[in-house]
Amino acid sequence: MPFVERRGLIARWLLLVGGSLAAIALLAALLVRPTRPGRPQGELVLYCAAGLSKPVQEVVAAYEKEYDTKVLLQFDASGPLLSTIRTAPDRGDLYLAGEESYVREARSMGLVREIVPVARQHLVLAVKPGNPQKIAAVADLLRKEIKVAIPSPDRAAVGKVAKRALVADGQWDAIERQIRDFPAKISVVATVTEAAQAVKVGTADAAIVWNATAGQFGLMPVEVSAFGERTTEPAAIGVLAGSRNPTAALHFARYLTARDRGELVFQKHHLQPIEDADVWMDRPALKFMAGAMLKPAIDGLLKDFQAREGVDITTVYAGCGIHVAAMKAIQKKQPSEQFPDAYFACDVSFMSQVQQWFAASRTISRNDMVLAVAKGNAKGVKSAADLARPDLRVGLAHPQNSALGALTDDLLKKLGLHEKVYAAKRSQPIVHVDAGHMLVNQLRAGALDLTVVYRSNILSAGETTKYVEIVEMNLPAAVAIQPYAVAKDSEHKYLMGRLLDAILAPQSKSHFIQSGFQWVAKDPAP
Amino acid sequence: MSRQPPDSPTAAADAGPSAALDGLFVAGLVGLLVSYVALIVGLLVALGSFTSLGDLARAVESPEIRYAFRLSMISCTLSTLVCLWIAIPAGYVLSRFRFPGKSFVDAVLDIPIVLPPLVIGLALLILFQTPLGRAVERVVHVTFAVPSVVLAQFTVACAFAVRTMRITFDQISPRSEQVALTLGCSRAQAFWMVTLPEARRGILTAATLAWARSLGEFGPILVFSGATRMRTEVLPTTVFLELSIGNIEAAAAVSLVMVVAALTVLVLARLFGLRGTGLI
Repeated sequence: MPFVERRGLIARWLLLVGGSLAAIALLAALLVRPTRPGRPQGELVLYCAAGLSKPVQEVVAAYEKEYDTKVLLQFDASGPLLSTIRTAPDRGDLYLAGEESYVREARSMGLVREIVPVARQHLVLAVKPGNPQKIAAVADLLRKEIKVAIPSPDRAAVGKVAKRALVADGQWDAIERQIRDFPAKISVVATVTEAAQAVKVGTADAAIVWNATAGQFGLMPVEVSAFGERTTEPAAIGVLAGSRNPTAALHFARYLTARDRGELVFQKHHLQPIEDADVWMDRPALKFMAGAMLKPAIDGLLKDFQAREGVDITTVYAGCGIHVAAMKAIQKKQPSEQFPDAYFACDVSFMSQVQQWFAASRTISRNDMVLAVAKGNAKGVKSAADLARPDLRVGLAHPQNSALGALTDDLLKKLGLHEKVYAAKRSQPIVHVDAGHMLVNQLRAGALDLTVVYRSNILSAGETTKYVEIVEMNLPAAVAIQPYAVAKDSEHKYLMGRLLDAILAPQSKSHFIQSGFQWVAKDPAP
Repeated sequence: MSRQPPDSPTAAADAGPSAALDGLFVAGLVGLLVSYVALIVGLLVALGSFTSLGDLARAVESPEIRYAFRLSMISCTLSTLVCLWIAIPAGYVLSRFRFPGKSFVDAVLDIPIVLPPLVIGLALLILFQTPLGRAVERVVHVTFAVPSVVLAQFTVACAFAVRTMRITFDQISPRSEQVALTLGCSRAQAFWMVTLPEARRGILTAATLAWARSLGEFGPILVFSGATRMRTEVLPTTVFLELSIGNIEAAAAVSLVMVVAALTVLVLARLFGLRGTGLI
């Protein structure tokens, strides 16, 4: 090969090498340029069940138009998405699964914090438009000429729900027999989407799917009695524990599930809206009434909750008698005044008086009533009977204004001490104040010798045990039980439900115990 | 078949006494070829029957599908170029050198071919959660971002390219290289000036294989890059997303767009790549 030609060959190959490197650099720059490490502040990543992509994309488009936050949607089936979240728990912000059970499972793994139900769907038989095979009941699936696609009861939630309903209806055995004996007639597929696809492309005549799936695939839904109400399942969205922007994530979750925002879109796409879904507010302003005794246990929690949720909660701490009176007044005389969205009562007796305006309450904690005296117990107080001693300056909570007062009054009556304690001849009349912590303050100031308070009134204030001593009564009646309930008319029931979840969280539980309460609530289901 | 040389089986069949048997043999071969081609054509017809010109037009106009098309084309080309940069030297080393552990390296290179695609995606995802992966992420965001698409495509496609290049170099006699060395070339010069030009067809085959493999890649991308609309959405992702909402017509339309794009690119690559070799 002549030298000049060889040089030309080298030049050509060098050109190729250089050219390919330049092309790699150029193409990489084209692709990598918009992706920088970390995510911008105004960006959320939503792992979304692919079957719900249509309505969710519509809601996201509206949300992005209204707010300066971009929502990146990552689609897959609910199960694989959960695996992705497990592998990279801090890469996303939200997880929207076709069935709530997946989000609950994620929460049991510590991957999800808050859960909000999105919309409901129920089982139907999906058939070709016009129902050419005249399929009207589950029994028709057993007909020789009918080919059926059923999502796997082991892999897909829809299959699990279908099996449960059909077992209850006594029809599952026959279906299972056909699956075993005629696999070409009844095929078990992995997902609800595959089942619907089978009908759409004609490989099956009928499939068991969600009603929303049938709608999305343009199939005809056949409602059958064997499914009924038992097969209604909500889709749900969870805020990931690893989210770097939980407040923005919750803001979007509230928007997606608001009855006057996202729910309208889900309805349009054949999903059933969640009953009593919250009303949309950019930054909800809520009212919360709580017994004064609960302040030490929940004050910090409420601040954290407001910051995380991006909401404002006006919390009114007072004696529960005052709360009850205020609520009755709002209901009867001042409808313009904001009724509390939730109420955390000092005792069940103060919940029952207003229960008609609240949904079922949840018992959280109990608080023992104790006798409190100055450190050293110089006056030799031993039991509740000492409350009747005329030589002692006794302070009690107000019987009408506070739960503690009412419970103390009841206790004195049960012990047969009421008349003696309030005897006219006693030189030091009983002092009444509205709340237990005020009685402790008076005791510390030396204005009282003996009082009845909650254990938490003493233990929740760090310094108090240096000056005040507890004398146990050990009486079954000397106890207050604290329930929490959400108002029936609240426009933010799910938000206040999340406050309950926050109260039930393990961190809150230990704070209650440190503050002198005993924990009564059962651990919440994941 | 019009350019067959005179000593081809067909020509021989015309001349010899066993013409009938040879004809049968050739007919058998052609029959088998046609049956496979018919299957592929059948697939395309089936796809076409589930879509319409309107669906195709809507697909071409959709900004999501345009984005997916652009990302697919760029990422496949990029991953192919990177594949060649690895596959040519790797194939050459495996073909020409003996070294301890060669069989092991050879087996390792087959792993991306034998592993299920989803496992590749999962392994990549986990790799980027390790301290090393996180260190890379601090410099460039890979997971669930566009670079992950290229990396997922490269991981699988490169194994095929390496395999092709190894066979290519195996089939090139080392004799020309040795002659070049005796004439005063260095090993590198012999590689650049003798072996590489001879491997031109193999390089083109490796490139087209890697490109096509990258275009069809879906499993690892779904797990490692996620199916994020207008972000990590490549054409197979679009098909998956459209299928999952029951839009089979759009899925079929996008599939046809993919077929046309792939055919165009591969035919063009063969035309330009083999120009001057007398093979086209």
